Amino acid sequence: MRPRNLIYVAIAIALFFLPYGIARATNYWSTSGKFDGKGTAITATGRDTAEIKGWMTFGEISHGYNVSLAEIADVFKLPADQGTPDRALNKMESEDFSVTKLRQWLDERKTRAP
Amino acid sequence: MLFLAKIAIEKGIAGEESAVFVPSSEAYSPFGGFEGFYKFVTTSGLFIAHTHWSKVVLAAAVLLMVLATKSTFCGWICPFGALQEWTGAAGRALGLKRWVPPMWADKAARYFKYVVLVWATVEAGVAGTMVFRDVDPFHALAEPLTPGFAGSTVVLIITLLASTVVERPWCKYACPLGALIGLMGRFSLVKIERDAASCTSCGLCDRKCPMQVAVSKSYRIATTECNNCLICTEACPNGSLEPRLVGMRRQPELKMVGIGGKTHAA
Repeated sequence: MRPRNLIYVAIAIALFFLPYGIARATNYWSTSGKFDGKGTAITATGRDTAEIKGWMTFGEISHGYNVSLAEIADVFKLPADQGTPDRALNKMESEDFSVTKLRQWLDERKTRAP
Repeated sequence: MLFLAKIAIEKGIAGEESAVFVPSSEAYSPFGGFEGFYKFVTTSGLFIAHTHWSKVVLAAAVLLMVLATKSTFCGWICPFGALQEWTGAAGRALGLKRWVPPMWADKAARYFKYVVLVWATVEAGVAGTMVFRDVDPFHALAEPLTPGFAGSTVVLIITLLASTVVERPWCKYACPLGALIGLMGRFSLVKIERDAASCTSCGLCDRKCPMQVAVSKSYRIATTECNNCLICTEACPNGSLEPRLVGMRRQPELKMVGIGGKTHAA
């Protein structure tokens, strides 16, 4: 390879890894939606339904959005023994229930609230 | 490629239900960072499903790289590009004849990647779902036989079969990241330039170019189709082609579409 090309490619690769290095140094490098860059577990905060992910549990949603498990189970016709606090949302996907439907319902519930 | 192999092995050993956390290949997809960017900004920093900080960081890395050195990511880092090169070499070794589509068909088909780009980013922005992941061959490559990756596995197989006879078909016709990089690369600080004084117009660069860019007809390779593999610069017997800082040499610039071995003034 010609020296000029070699330098060019080396600079390009260095530029590619620069943001990675900065992200690692500032704890912004996270390869999972479940943890932030510092390794702290991410959970439902009730701030915005867009934060709700399939791996979150019914318990997290109940706590974060101040809604009882019984109400969720009732609205989405979930079997009583399956909407348990530690069950992940994506394990309960059905015709009646999905993460998208849960988000929509929580949004509607929020707008209805006085 | 080695990195992808590492993910595939780790995923295979750990399994989906393992207590040991092994990042998904999706975590290393720069395109996911671009797809989720609109939602990330409009929801004050929330990620849509299957998007993490790593994707945003890699998208920023690609952006930085493109603005400085054009599509070097495509030519030098993308593992899927490397795989297509290898399957192409395997096809040649097996005696398969390379097929160049008719120019009109090739030119029209190259617009398809922009359709994929718009579809993927608009869907992610409006609906908040990453539709492209269902057909992204990158995932099937890194995590073969993973349940739910049937669509991406089919696309992967078709691409690999096609690349035995067609040069880099995914890059040319379907890659949304390549489309985005090509567009952003128009603003790159460094581009390949041809020194008209020393060039003998032998056309070797044109014949060697895997993307069928008409290199010998242009003073500066500004086309979105160039993936900066630098094969043309290495092939030039006179050293007339070099990556240069734009504006360092005063030469007229021809904006080239440059597909199929013929030039078209844009």
